[in-house]
Amino acid sequence: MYWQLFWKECRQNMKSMTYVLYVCCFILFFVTQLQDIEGISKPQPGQKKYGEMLSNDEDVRMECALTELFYSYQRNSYPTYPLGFHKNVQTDEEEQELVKETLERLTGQTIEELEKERNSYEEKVTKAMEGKSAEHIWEVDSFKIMPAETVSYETFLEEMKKIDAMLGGQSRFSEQRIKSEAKEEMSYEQAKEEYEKIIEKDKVSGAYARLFCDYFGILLAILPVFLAVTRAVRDKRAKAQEVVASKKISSAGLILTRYLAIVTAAMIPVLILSISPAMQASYVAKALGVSGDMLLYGEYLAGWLLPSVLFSVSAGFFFTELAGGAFSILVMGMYWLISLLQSAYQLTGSVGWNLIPRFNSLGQRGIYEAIFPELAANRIFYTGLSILLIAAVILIYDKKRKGRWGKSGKYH
Amino acid sequence: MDTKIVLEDVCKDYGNKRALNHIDLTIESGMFGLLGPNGAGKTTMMKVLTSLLPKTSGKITMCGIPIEKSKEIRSMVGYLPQEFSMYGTMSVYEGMDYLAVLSGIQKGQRRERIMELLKKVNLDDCAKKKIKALSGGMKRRMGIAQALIHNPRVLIVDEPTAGLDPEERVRFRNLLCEVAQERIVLLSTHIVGDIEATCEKIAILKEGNLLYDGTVTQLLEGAREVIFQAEVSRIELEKVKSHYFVTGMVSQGQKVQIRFIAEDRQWLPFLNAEKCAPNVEDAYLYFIHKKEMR
Repeated sequence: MYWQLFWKECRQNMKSMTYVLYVCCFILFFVTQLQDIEGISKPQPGQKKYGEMLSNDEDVRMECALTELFYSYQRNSYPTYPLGFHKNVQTDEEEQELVKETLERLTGQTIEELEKERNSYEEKVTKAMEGKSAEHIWEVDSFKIMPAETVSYETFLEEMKKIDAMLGGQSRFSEQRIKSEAKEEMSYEQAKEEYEKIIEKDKVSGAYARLFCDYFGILLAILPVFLAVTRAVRDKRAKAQEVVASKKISSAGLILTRYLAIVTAAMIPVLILSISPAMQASYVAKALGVSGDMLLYGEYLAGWLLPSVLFSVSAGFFFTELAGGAFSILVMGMYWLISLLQSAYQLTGSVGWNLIPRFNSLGQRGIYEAIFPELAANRIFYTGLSILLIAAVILIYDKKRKGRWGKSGKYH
Repeated sequence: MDTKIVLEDVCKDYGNKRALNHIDLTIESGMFGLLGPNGAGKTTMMKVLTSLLPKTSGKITMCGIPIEKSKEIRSMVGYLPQEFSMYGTMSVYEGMDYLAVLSGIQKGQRRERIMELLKKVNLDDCAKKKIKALSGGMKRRMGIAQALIHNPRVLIVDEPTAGLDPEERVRFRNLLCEVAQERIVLLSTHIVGDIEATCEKIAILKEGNLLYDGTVTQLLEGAREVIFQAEVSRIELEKVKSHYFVTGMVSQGQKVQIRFIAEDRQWLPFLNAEKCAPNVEDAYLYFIHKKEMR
């Protein structure tokens, strides 16, 4: 009985306009965000560069931020992240002048001198590219603007605070971003260690799966709510509440079957869209001499993304049953925004009790290992919360079904 | 097997408002009509009997099972709510199949049972039609079919003929009579014609109180001495209305042929009124307005 109901519910969910829009959102997100994933390659001794890692060095933080500020000034296009979304901001002449003065004050050089340095760097790059092969470009040190010796880190932060405020806040030049974007070059040993972990423990697949989970976790923390609300209000809209309530099926059976059908429907596009990066990971793994682990990819989806779906669907059901569909979307929308904002400054390794754990890097196994206990606790917490919420939904529905909900007991 | 519904001293309150007031009633196999004006408490009683609402006090047993055992009650009750509808995008068959699953009908039996019922309600040609494309009458017929899907011992139908055209109404009444041969059918309505055509036993509710419980014949008997008819002018009509409750009138030129309820007979000689046999509508109105007339 429940199995047959499950399939009927799945079919019904998937035929709805909400579901079509849900799938479209995933496809759009996949196409725009997950098409240009960088590859993984084995570090070789003597290589000019081995990639970057986060730095705690204040000088490095200042260099990175000043270099970015200089480039942004030249383009008159400043990166900001309102609500965690990337947006470039253009400034007027007066504001450009303020940036120019800040740069000159912090570097102790005029803007013309900085431009000259940059031109000289670009000439070196051009020469390197004209050489035997394009790889020579790596032999050129990257362009970096150094702070003046007299400038302290505190002064630098004060100046950046003004720039951030001018750009409307949450910009690349906020203190949090300055910290999370300060990267330094890895040594060969560091790079080798990182690479070996990706090969041995991640089988490459894990590294790709983490990045996939990071992106899709954002959507799965909110979009399934719409599926849940659509299902929860369907009986009422069709005026089928009474006839459904009068049938033999138990409240627990009905709600759980509907719940699992939505969770399944919500996971289907995720599973389908994960095939491409999973295969890509396998190809990369093969090229690196190991077998990609598709099962590991699946484990990441089940362990990382499924709790998000379980929670957003159960919360969607719960708030709809409690106070209606619009309330449910409002509450969950706010919760999603707060979750997203909380991790906006640290895109890799930000977990806590946040609904949207972030890991916006390919690789970084070291960071992953460090946050794993926190991540596991987070996912168990949301799974547990989902079970509690769905139990509450069953209780509320059963009371409503028996006319025992609300002051007057009048529900139907 | 005990095939009856027994209500003993049943009350139902919505906050401070009493919707059912100390109801004692026994409903036995066959068609049973529940008659009453809008707001009488008929729908509340239906919902209490289908376990969609809890009673405030009293005792109800259905075929020997206490009403509190909602799962068992739902297994034996088929319910057609006042506003029956289902997911509009489903076909009639799909809608029936969905509700059959909720009723616990096994896969192997569902198709045969659904087609049998659709044939019974004359909807077998519409099995593939979308529910949203059904007319009001067709939807009600589907409602009856879904209520019968698990072959219930008790069928409860709430205002099933409201809004139907005369032909659909007759067809619907006949259908109810057919299915009532094997079970209790509790029909709630404020349309007297439905009861007259289908039920032998009835109850009348008004403002939550049970005014009458008995057969239609007894109801007619109770009103035998108080129904009169007369031919009056239009001017006299206003006077009659101020003294008596007029249950029907037919215009005949300048005169009007009226039927009215008269417990107080002092004005009757002036009207040349003569006693006549009551119909169910007269008798119903008499019971409904008896207190006010006194």
